[in-house]
Amino acid sequence: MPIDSQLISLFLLFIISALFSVILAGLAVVVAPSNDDMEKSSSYECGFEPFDNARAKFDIHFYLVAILFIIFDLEIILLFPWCLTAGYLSVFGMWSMIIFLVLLTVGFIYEWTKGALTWK
Amino acid sequence: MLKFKKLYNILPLFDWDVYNLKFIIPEIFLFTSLLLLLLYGSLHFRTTKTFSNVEFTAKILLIIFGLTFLLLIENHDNEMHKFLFNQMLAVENFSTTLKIFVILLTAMLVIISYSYAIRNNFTEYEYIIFLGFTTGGMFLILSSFDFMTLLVAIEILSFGLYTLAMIKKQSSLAAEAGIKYLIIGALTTGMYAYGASLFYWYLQSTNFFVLQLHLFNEKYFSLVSLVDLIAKGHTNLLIGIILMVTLLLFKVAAAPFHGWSPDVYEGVPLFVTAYYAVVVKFVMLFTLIKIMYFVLKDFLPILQPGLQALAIASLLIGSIGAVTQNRLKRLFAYSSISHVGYILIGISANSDEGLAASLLYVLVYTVTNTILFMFLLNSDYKNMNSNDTHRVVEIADLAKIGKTHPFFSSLFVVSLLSFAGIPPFAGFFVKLKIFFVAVSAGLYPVVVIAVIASAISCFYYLKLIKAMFFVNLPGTFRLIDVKSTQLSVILWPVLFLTLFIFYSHSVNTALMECALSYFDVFHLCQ
Repeated sequence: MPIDSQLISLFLLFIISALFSVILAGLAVVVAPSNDDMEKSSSYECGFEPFDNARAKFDIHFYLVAILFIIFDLEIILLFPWCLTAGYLSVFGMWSMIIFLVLLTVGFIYEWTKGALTWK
Repeated sequence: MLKFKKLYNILPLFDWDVYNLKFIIPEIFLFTSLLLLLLYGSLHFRTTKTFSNVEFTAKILLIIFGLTFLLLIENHDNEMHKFLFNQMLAVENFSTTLKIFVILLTAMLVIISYSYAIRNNFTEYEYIIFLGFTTGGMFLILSSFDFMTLLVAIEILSFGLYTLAMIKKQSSLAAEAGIKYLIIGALTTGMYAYGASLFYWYLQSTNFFVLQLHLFNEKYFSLVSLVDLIAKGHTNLLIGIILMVTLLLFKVAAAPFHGWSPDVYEGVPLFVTAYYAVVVKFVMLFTLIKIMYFVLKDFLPILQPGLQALAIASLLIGSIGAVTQNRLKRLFAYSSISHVGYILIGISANSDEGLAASLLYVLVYTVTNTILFMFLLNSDYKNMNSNDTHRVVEIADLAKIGKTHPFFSSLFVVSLLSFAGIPPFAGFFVKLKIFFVAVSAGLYPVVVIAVIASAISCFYYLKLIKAMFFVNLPGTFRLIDVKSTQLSVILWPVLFLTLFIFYSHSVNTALMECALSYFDVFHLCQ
């Protein structure tokens, strides 16, 4: 049974990416200077104490930023299948995606001018 | 409109004729101009937060609506049934007529809410733009020809409605109502999506026409009862259709699915309540009738017992629930539930007369509701002893208005009497029509219950009239100065209700012709 060449390239991708990330992480441990203190080595979670009273009040701005991030994240989900099939689509498919991006841009301008992205 | 046709041939972006895009030019125009308006607003109203922003946006919105109205009229062509985007949208006369109604109703609401917006310090211009976008969503609902398009269109509408519900950021009542509406809306949309997926499993398509043709064929092979359906393995179809119809029943607040409506009506700002009760309900009721009578026409005998049960439940819960209410918005929410009951009777009658009767009932119901909310939006309660001014919330706030403002209170009384079904007004004739249709379809028990419910509903409509004319309470009712434009807007629905007897037949015929043009779309292949 002949091995598919595409699968070999996929295998190589896995090997190289694993090696690359191990090398980078290892270099960070070996080369980079490290002087730990209490604040640095404590776990970090959106600027909150990770183990605290659950009823504590905090800024709703976190949610806003997260939701705005998710909107643009989901846009990518729509863009990927479009990219893969862009060659087969007619001019109609191209303009549909451009309309979608224009809509997103208008929304982005709105949220920017509304001040949703500035941290007060 | 020769010049206009040349204009879209110049635009190089699309081949307009290949994709039939010229038939949705009203929608394209509406959405594009609203986006530009949003862009303008976000760039120019950054620093200021005044009412003049709202006023300016509202004026531009009315201009946009006017142009869209002209484009819709241009689209209104007797010979035209056009399918767009792989049969996902259908543009035909029935939906175009309804779109014209929707745009008129929304424009009217924007005009009559002017003084309300001033008094309640509406400084966010966005709510006007949301009104525009929800109108666009309703356009898509009305011309959708596929369960997926209907889902997306209902979502476009619903997102706008959730946002409108929470437009008053400081009010906890509005936040509660908005969250309730959001959760119920998300749940029912999920059910609808599940139903559509079951249906796709069953037929490998979500198109209305495919479903309609399939049901027609199944009926031809004598698949006529519920037992048959389950025995022959069509459970997917049954559950799918029921789940999809449930969404529509939720949106019109028919009885077992009515729980959200009094709370949401009560919580959201009055202007938004008016929008829900008048425009959104109009569109959703027409969509329900359209789907029931055209898409599921051959399935209606199977759904008939269920629809009758829903009608009885809506009538009883609506009428009895409204009796104990003291707050006007809750009262009207319950009364609208009972009116949905009458429309469901018309649907379950399953005949052409039933179709005409329910279409006419929706029209008259919407017009009557418009007067009611126009009245509430332009009135304020003022207690002379304590100088306390607030909105009219309870029935007691209506005291003495018949003496201080006899003309406006008589307009209010016209709409109440029409709701109650008192003879010279339109409400009587449409109710009578529904009863006739139901009797000729042999639905005797439903008619008996409907008559009883109608008698109960007379009680609380007359209670309002009594509060306006015959009860003396400390404090005076005061109408905020009504402008002449608003006056002219409030008068035509009253005339419509009063003179209905003279042209009820022609309205009925016109509606039937429009509806049958839609019917033709579905029977092209039969």
